[in-house]
Amino acid sequence: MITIKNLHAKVAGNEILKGLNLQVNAGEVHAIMGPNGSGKSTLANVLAGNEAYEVTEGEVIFNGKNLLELAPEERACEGIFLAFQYPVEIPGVTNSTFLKTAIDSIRKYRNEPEISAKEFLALIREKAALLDMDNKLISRAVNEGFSGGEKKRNEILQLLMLNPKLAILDETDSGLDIDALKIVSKGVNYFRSPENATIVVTHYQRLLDYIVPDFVHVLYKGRIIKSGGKELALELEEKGYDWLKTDEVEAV
Amino acid sequence: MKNELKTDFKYSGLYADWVKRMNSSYNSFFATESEAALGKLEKISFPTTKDEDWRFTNVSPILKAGFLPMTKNDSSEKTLEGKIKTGFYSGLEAHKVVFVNGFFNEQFSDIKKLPENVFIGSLKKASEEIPKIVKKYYGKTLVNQNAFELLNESFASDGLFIYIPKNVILELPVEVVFVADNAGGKMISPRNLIVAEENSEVNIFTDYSSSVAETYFTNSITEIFGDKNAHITFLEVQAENNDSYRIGTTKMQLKDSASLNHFVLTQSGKLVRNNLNAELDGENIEAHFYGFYIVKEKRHIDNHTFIDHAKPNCFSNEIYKGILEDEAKAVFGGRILVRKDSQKTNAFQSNKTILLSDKARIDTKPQLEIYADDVKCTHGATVGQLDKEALFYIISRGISPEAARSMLIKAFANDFLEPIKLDVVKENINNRIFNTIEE
Repeated sequence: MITIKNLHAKVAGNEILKGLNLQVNAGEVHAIMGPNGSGKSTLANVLAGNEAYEVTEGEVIFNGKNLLELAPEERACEGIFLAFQYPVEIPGVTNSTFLKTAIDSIRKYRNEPEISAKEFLALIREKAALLDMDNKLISRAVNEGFSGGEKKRNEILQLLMLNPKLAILDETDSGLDIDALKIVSKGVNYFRSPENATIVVTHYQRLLDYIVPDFVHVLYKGRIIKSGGKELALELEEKGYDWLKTDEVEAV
Repeated sequence: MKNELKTDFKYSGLYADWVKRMNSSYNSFFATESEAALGKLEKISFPTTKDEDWRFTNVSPILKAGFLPMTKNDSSEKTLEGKIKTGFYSGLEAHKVVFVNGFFNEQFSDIKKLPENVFIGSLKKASEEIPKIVKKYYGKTLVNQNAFELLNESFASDGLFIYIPKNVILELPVEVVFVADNAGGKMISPRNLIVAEENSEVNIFTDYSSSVAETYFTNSITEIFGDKNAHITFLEVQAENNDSYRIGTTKMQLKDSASLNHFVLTQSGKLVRNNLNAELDGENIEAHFYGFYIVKEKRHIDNHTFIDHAKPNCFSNEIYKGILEDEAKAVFGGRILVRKDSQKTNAFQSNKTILLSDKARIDTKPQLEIYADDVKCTHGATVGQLDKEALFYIISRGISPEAARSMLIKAFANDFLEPIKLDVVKENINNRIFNTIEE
C-alpha cells in the first residue's frame, strides 16, 4: 500500500524526520509510538501533504504513485485520510455539506457520478448511528462548538464516509474519555478491511487495547528505532521509552 | 483655506436652476428645509483628510467631479422594468417600493394592502398628506450636520418614508429598490425616514444598484426612529456600479426596550463612505450592527460608526467584517460613547478583515469613550489571511483549494448571514457575497 524510504522532513527550519523507513501493506494496522517531539505528527502531516512541512529527502510510494508529487487534495482523492489531532471549526458550513462536497470531489477525480442526496443521507445516518452521533450533529456547522470528544468522533465519521485506502490517525485518542475512546475504536475497527490499511499515531498504549495493531513502531528523533508486534506496545507501557534511547536499534 | 474646493464649485449656485427643472416634482416642504440647509452649507467646509474622521478617505474626487443635482425627468424608466424585477429577492413576499434616482416610482412599486394609518412609500407624498407626522421626525437626528448632510438636505426632494404607528406589527417585510438610471454626472440625494412607534415591528430590506456603468454620486440620508419597544430590522445592500461614489449617512434614535438589527453589505462602488450613528436614548435597548464589505481593485470603502450609549442598561453589539483583494482599501472607525450615567452598559465591537492580497490595506480605529464606571465594553480588531491550517483541513478531504477558500469565506461571512432571520433574504445575501467574491 505505502512504502516510505529514507524520509527527511523539516518544519519551521528544524529537521524532524531524519531518515524514516516504513512499509505498510493492505489489511494491516501499524501503530507509531514515541515520546513527544519524536516526529509522529510530522509523519502524519507529511503524508497528508501539509505545506507547513517540507520534505527534504526520501520518497513515498503510495499504490504505485509518487505521493510527494501530489497536491494534498489529490492525495485524498487517491485514498489518503488524516484524522486530525486538532480538527478545525468551520462556522456556517454544515457537516453534511462539507462531507457531500468532499465525497463528490473524490468521485469527480475518479470519474464517478456525484452521490445522490438520498444515498448520501442514508450513508451518513448509518455511519453516525454507528458512532452514537446525534443526527443534529450532521446538520450543525463542522466542529463548531463541538466538545473535544465530539470533534474526534466527527473525524471518524469523515473516515467512514470517505472510506479511504489508508487512514492515518494522529493522536485520535488524546483528550478522550474511555467511553469516547471505545466508540472511536469501534468506528476504526469497522473501517478495517483486507483492502485498506491504518496508521495509528499515538502516545499511549491505551488506544491499542481497542484498535489492535499488527505492528508497533517506535519513533525517536525522527527515525524508527524499534519495530515489533502488538506486545511491543505493552512493553513500552511497562518500561517507557528510556531503555530504547540508550540502545538505538535500526528498524528492519 | 481648508475648503478650496468650495470656491471651485458652489452647489448653492445650482439650486435655482435645479428647482426650475424639477418643476412640479418639488414641493414646499423640501423647499423650506432646503433654504436653511443651503445657508449653512455656504458657511462650512467639506471634510478633508486633515479632519480626523476623514483621515483615510479623500472625498476630493467627488467634489472635483462637480456632480449636478438629479432632476426627476432625467431617468429613462422604460429601460428599467426588467432590471428592477431581477433586483428583487426572488420568492420574498413583501411590500415592494422602487425609487429611480431617488424618486418614488409608482409604476414599479407594489405596495400591498396596509393596516390602518401605516404609510409606506414616497416621503414627498407623505409630506403633503401627513405633514404633521413627517415634520415631527424629519431631520431630528441631525445635529452639527457635516457638509454632505447639508448637501443632501439642500437637494433632497423625495425618498423612502415608512411609518408604523403604535402597536402595529407589519407582517410583510418592506423591500426597497433604489436604482440609479441615466445618472452619469449627476448627484442623487435620497432622503429616507423610518418611524416605528411604540410596540411596533417592521422589517426593511433595501438595495442600492445602478442600471448601467456610469459615474455618478449618491449622497443619502436615512433616519430611523424606534420608539419604546419597537422592533426594527433594517438591511441595506450597497451594490452600485464600480464607477460610482457614495456617501451614506444613517442616523438612528432608539427609545426604551427597542430592538434593532441593522445590516449593511457593501459589494461595489468606487468610493463608499458610510456614516452610521445610533443614539441609544432609552433603557434596555438591544442594538446589533452588522457590516460586511467586499472590496476589489483600487476601490475604497470606509465605515464610520458611532454608538452613543446615552442611557443605562443597554446592549450594543457591532460586528463589521470585510474581505479585501487587489489594491483595495478599507477603513473602519468605531466610536462608542458611554455617558456618565449609562451604568450597566454592555457594548461589544469587533472588526475583522481578511486580506487576500499583499497590496490591500485596512485602517481600523476603535474609539471607546467610557465615562460610567459599571460597564462592560470590549472591542477587537483582526487583520489576516485565510487560516492556513483550516485550508489544509478542508483540502485534505479531497476538496479543491478554490472550494476550500470559499468554504472559509462562508465561515467568515457567517456572523453577517446567521442573524438574517428570513431564509429567502439570507440565501440572496449569501449568493451576493459569493458572486461578488468570484467575479
